[in-house]
Amino acid sequence: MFSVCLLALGCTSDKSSSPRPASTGQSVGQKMPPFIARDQFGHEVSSDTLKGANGTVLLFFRSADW
Amino acid sequence: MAAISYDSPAILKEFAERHKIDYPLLADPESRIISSFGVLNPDAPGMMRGMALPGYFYADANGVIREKYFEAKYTDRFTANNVMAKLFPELAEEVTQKVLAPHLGLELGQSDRSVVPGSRVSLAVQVDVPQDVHVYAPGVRGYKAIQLELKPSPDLELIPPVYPSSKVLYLDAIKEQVPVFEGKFQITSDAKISATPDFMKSLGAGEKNLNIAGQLRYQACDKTTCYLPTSIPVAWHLQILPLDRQRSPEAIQHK
Repeated sequence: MFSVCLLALGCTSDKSSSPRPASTGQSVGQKMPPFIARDQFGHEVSSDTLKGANGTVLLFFRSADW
Repeated sequence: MAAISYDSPAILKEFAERHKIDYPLLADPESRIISSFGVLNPDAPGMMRGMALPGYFYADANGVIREKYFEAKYTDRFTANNVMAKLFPELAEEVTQKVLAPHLGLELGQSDRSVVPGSRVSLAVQVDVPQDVHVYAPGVRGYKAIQLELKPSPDLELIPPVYPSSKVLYLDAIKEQVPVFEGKFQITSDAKISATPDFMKSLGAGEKNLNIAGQLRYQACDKTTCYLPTSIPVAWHLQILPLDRQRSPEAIQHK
């Protein structure tokens, strides 16, 4: 099962509460921007290493701190 | 799958350990990846500067973005189970329950059992029409088309149901072509749980059970008989949990 408890985060109020259009971010049909980053284990992960046979799902979330 | 935020690796490590997350959480403290995907929140002030707008991208094996799931408000978001069920229905392990209904098999599914305020979940009606039987699809005239109608509630926002493509059946007896569903098919409807201050206050530190009720209306016909239109009560049950407001240890918190 795809458990993503990280979404159960406190959404304390901030000034950025105005509604955003649903067309946020890169458009469908565009190439995903390449990237490299470190994960929680300290390993370097790239957009290429993440790719699976069925593609890649990327979740952008606000914060794991609060 | 991977998740990205403007947090440091230390924050992500602590969070992953606390919640037993074993898929990659990627640190983007300079918000370079966030900016390159066009999801930097331009209005986030103070320690929230650099934060991403929450949502999902799905890219195919060639790296081309094929789907994305973002809501207009930052407090609203698709659950991961909902997104995965939409992208890979064959892998979805939904919670299901059987419902007794005349002339067909009926099972109700939902992407999640427990969610937090602001979550967008998927509700499903899985229909199994026996051989030589059909039900009428939306757009039919003179017969009762299958229709899922959910009861409004102040605690949630209902997204209109999505019906699959129907087939056209020629009925020789009446010399008519009609849109129908046969065999197995699914009707889905998303529901967004409220995230208003009043609703979250009603949760307190505990949880709340939310019942989403409705009716499935349809008319079934076989080779010789069109049965009277039927209305079956349907209901899904969600457990609404309070948001996790625990911060990272002070030494690694955003300041």
